[in-house]
Amino acid sequence: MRKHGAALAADRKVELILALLMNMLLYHCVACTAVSAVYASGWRDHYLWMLWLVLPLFFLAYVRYYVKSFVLFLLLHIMMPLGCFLLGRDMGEKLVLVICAMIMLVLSVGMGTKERWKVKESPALGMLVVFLICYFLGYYMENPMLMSLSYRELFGFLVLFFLDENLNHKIDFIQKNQHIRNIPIRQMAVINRLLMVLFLSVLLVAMIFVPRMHLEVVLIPIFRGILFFIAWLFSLLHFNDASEKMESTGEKMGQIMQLGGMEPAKEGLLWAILEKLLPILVIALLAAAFVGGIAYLLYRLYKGFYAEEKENTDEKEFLSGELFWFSRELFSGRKENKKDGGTINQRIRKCYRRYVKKGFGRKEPVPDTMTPMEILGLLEKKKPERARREEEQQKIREIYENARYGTEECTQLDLALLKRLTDGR
Amino acid sequence: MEILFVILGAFFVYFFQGILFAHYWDRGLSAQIHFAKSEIGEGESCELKEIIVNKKLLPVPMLHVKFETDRGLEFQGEKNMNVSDRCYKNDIFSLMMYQKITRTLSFTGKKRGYYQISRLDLVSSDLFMKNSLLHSMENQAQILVYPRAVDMTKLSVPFKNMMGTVLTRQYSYEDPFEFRGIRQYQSYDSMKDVNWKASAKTGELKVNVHDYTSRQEVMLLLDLKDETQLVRDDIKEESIRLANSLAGLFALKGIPVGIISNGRDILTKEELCLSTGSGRPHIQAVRECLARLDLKQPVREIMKVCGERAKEKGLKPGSILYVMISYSQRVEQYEEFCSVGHECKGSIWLLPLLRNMEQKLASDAELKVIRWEVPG
Repeated sequence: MRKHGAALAADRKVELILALLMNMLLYHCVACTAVSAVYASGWRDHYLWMLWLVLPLFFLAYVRYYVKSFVLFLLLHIMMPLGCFLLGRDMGEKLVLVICAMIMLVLSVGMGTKERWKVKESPALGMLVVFLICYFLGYYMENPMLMSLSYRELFGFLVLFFLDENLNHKIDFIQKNQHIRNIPIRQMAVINRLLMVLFLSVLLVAMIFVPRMHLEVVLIPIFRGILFFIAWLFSLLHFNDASEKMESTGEKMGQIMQLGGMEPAKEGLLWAILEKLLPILVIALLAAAFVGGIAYLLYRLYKGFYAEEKENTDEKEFLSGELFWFSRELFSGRKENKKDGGTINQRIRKCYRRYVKKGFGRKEPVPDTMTPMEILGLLEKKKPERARREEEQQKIREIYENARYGTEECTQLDLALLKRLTDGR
Repeated sequence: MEILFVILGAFFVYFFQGILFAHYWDRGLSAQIHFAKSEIGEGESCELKEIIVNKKLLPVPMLHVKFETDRGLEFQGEKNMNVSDRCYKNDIFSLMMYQKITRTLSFTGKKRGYYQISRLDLVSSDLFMKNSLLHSMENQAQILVYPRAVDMTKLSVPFKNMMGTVLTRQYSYEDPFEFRGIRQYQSYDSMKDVNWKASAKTGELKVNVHDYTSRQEVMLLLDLKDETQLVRDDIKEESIRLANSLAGLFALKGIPVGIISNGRDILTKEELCLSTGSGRPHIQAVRECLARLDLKQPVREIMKVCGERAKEKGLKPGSILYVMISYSQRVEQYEEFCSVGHECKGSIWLLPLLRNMEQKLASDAELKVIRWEVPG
C-alpha cells in the first residue's frame, strides 16, 4: 500500500501540472485576445510577452494547492492582482492581467471553501469554446497572429486534455482498487503509457493532417446546398435570386484562412531571436519526446520480459511461440539449444537426465531403481566440490518430479530455474 | 475552418480507440481457472490457479476477472472478496501483447462439499476507462472437499462394540478359493496349505491364509432428514463425518461396508446407495459420495429408502449388520429399525446429539443405542 501511495502521489502531481498547463493556455489565449482587441497591431500583440506576464498566475495556481495557512492563502491572492497590475506596461495590459487574477481569485475561493481534494483543477472539454471564440475574434479583427496563437494553443490544450483525462481515470481506478491483493499497478502503468504514446502519435498525426486534407472542398458544397435549401424554403426570394445570394455568402465562408507565421517583432532584437528559436525548440522537444517515448517503451518491454522485478506473485510468460515472425532470439545473446525440442515437461526431463549423466560420468551407468532423491544424494557424495545447498537439491527434485509424474504442464520459469540450478545450457 | 477540422480529427481518434477496444479487446483473450487438486479433506489447504492469456498485439491495460464460489472455500487474506450468500471474487490483471499470467491463490476447504466454478466474467475498459466491456466465459473447475474424520478416541468404544458383533457372527470355515495372505507355519497347519514358493524365497516354511466362507458385512444407514422444522446442518454434517470415519475403520479391518442414505447427490440428484465393498477404491468412492451429498435437497424417510434398496440389491438380513446414524428420535422410525434389528441381531443406532439435547431412545436386547456428542 505504501508503494501504491507513493506512486499515486507522483501521479497526482503530474495531473496537477497538466491541469495548470491547460489553465495557463486558456488564460494566455484570453489575455492575448483582450490585448489584441484593445490594441490594433504592433508589438503589443506579441504573445511571448503575454506569456511572461501570465507566468505569475501559473505560479500562484501551483503554490496555492500546497498552502495550508488561511492567512498566507489570503495574502497571496491579494498580492497577486497587485503584482499583475504593476507588471503591465500600460493600462490595457494591466486591466487584462487584473481580470485574469480576479478569475483565479474567484476559483481559489471556491477551492478554499470546498474540500481541496474534491476540487478538480482541470478545465472541462467545453473550454475549447474559449479558443474557438478567440480564433473567430481574431478572424473578425483580421489578426492572423491571434488566429495562429489560438490554433496552436487549442492543439496543445487537446493533447494535454487527453493526457489529463487518462491520468485522472487511472488514478481514480487505482484509488478504488488499491486494497485488492496482487493488483499489478506497475504493469498497468507501463501498458497505459505504451498505449498513450501510440494514441498521442495518432492524435498528432490526425490533428496535423486532417486540416491539410481540405475536407471543406467536399463538405462546404454539401453544407451550402443544405443551407441554400433551408434559406430558400423560408425566404420570400425567388429561387434564382436566393441562389445568387447563397453563392456569394458561400464564397466568403469558403475562404481558407491562411495561417501565417508570427509577424516579425517590430521592436527588440531579443524578441526577434526568440521568435525564430521558438518553433525550432518546439519541434525539437516534440521529436525528443517521440523518440524518448519509443526508447522508454522498448526499455520497459525489455525489463518486463527479461529482467522483471516482481511486484506480486504472478508468473508471467511471453508467448514467443505465437509470434512466428518474431523470435525471442533477436534480443537474446545466446541461441536456444535446438536439440531441446518438445513440451516444457519433456525439456525439463532432458535437462535433468543430462545433469545426472554428467554427474555420474560416461563409464558409470545411472541406477534404474533409485528414486530421484537417492540419485541426487549420490551425486552430492560423488562430487562434493559441486555440492549444492539442500534447498536447491530439493527444488531440482521437485521440478523434475512435477514434470515426470504431474498431470499439469510446468512453466517456462520452472525450466529456466532448473537450467540455472543444474548449470545447464 | 481548419481549427474545426483539428477538433474533428482529435475526436475521430478518440472515438476510434474506443471502437477498436470494443471490437478487439476480447479476441485472443482466454481465461481459465482450475484447482491444483481434484479433492482435499475438510480443513486442508489447496491452491487455485487463474491463467489469463492475451494472444494478440493489442495489450489489455486493465482486466477484471470475476467469479463466484460457495462460502465453504475460504481464501486467505483476500480483501477483494464480497462474501454474502456466496463468495464473489474479483481479481485485476494487466496484460501486455502475447502474454500469459498465472496467479495462484491459496484457500482452505472449510466445509465438506462439491465446489464448482463454471463461469468467469471478464470486464475491461478502453484507454480512458469510460465504458465497460464485458465478456462471459465458461469454465470447468471443480473440487471435492471430503468430510474429515471424527475424534477417533471417542469413536473407538462404539467401534469396538460393532467389531465385537461382527467378529462373533463370522463363520469359522475357511474358503480355499479366497486368498487372504501368508503367515509363518505353525505345528497345527496342514502340509497342503504350505506355500512352497514363498518358503523357498524366505528360507522358512510359510502357509497360505484363507478368508472365511461368509463374511459379516456392514451397512451404514445415514439419515439426513430433519426431525422438526428446525434445520440442524451441524448435526447432519457430524453424521456424515461419522459415516466417513466408520467406513474407513471397517475398511481397515477388511470388513465390507456399504452405505445407504436418504441424502441426495448434488450432481445426479439421486439418493445415495453404495453396495458393500472393501479396499481403497471403495473407500474412496464412499468419501466421494459423502462429499457430494447436498443437504438442501428434499429427503424421504430413511427406512423407506432402506427397504427399497434392500429389495433392489437382494440384501440378506442375516449377513448384514445395520448401523443407523440418525439424530431423529421419532418413535415410528425407531420401531421400524427395531424390527430390522431383530432380524439382523446386534444392530446399532448411533445418535448424534448436541450436549443440551435429551436422549429419548433406549437400547434393548437386540438393538444398541449409542449417543454421540456433537461439538458445537
